[in-house]
Amino acid sequence: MENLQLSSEHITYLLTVLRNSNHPMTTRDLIRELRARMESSR
Amino acid sequence: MQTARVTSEPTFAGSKKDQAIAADTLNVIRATGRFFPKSAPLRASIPSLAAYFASTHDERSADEWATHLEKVARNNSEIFTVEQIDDVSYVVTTSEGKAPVPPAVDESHVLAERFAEPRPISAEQLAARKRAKVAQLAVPEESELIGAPLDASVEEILEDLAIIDDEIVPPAFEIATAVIEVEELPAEVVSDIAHLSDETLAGVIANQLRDEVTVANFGDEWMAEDKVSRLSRGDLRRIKEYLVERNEPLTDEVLLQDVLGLRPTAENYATMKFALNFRLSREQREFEYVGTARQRYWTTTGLPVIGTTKRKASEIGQDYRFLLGESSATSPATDNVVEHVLTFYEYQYGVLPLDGLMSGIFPEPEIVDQRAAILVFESPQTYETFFVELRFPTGNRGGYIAGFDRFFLENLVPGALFTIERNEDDGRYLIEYLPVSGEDRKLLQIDEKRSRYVFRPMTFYCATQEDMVLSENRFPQLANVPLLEERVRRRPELVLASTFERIGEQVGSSDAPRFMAILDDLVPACNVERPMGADLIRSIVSSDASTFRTDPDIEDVFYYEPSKS
Repeated sequence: MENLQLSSEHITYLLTVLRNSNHPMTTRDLIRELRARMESSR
Repeated sequence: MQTARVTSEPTFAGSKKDQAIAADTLNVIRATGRFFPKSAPLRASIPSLAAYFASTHDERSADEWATHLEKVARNNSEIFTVEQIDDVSYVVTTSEGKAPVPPAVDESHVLAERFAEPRPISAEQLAARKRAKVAQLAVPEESELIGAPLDASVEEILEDLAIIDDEIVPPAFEIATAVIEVEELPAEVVSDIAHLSDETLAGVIANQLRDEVTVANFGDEWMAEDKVSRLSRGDLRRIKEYLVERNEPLTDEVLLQDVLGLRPTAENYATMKFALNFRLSREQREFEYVGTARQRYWTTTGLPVIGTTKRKASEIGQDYRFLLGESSATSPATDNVVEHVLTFYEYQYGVLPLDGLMSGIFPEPEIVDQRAAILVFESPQTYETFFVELRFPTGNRGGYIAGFDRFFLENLVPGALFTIERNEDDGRYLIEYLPVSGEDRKLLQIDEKRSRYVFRPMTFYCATQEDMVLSENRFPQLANVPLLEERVRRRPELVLASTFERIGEQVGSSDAPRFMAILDDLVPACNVERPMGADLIRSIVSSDASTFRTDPDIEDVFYYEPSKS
């Protein structure tokens, strides 16, 4: 896990999600958002 | 000091008369720009020059002079240029007598164009705006020569230095000094996250987002930093004062409601709770996070210390150092209950080890560099609730739980059997012992005045594990034995040797003494001086064959031969 890194596209998306949220998000929320985006882009 | 202005006269072209007119023209123009730089262009309009020449030379009219002057100027193009500005002709020269050269503008450093037409920001710049990476140094498992890690307080580091200064202790030999080669592997960029488990993905996200300056993080929660509400200096001061007033660690919810006056039903309650935790975590000089995932306790400087005052926290951590090599080897508890037999050391200082078994029911640090966590213990048998402090293991100190001093002293004796049960509410635990009818025995205690061990009659009402009870009948040799010196106590192998001499059976001769002891006696007797588990004793015996021996026929029977030197 130490050597894994998300692509800049993923990170940019997560930053956008956080920026658009007015509430704190848990890591689980972020994972859900990321997976949902992957699904929709397929 | 006087300086002479050296001027070189130019050579004029044309007839002698024209040369004289050109020289006059140059002198007139120079006179108008005496204080100008040598290369600065000096302008004089031809009509004004013509008027001057007409007034001083009668042979031509002003118009004729104008025409002639322009002709002379054009003939001396190295000295004059003729400019036309708003239908008026000007003769232009410099004070050094050279036709002015238009200044070359060096635009290599001019950002005017950049400001007017900004370049689009590259995708790389957009994506990564990271904090400077802090070197993640691998901490060797054990070495006396390595100083305290950064998560120790300055006070503790100074205490360590005092200890090291007192005596240079060789590495405890139960744990080999490890040489760690740090090999940095290149990061693998994951484009398709579908094959990653949630746990792995959570770790990757946390690792990367923690580096982002624009992201606020506390525990498992994330938020854009600029959207996190800020606490004023007054808010921070009031929070500190409230903690001092209540004289105990308080949860984030208590601080939110009591100090900041927020109701749990408020729309922004969750956001403000995150803001409070995040902002307080940034005020490390004033506040310290000592919470768990669901009981987020905060403390501040000046609150009473939880735990014994008989021994420094750093020294207890050093005593439990052997757990660093052990904790990963022992399987954690599968359920929420752990049984434990109290040792003399634990009874004396009101501590419990965070060993492999205990760590199964206690939380891990919730934030990076968390030093300790405050837990609440409830004793349904004595109807009391008290705080204990879980000190997380660091690079050279083992983890332990402190704050049981009074509970142990009032209810238990060394050798008592009790259970700790994790409550469903994270951060709250039940401690229970088996009550029995009163039992009177002479048990080992410390005579503080004489610094010696003594046996005193005690009445206790808790069930005990007999092989851990330090009674006079079992260990009469310990009566009036002086406490070991601190430099001996810090070294498990010396404590073991001393314990052999105290309680072991002399099976050698007076010239060549040899002591025999069984593990069941060594464990409680060694734990009088310092924490030492059965595994540690076995490890010392097996690693120092010159001094200690294992009986080849009977399990857990050991021998000790003092070195003759």
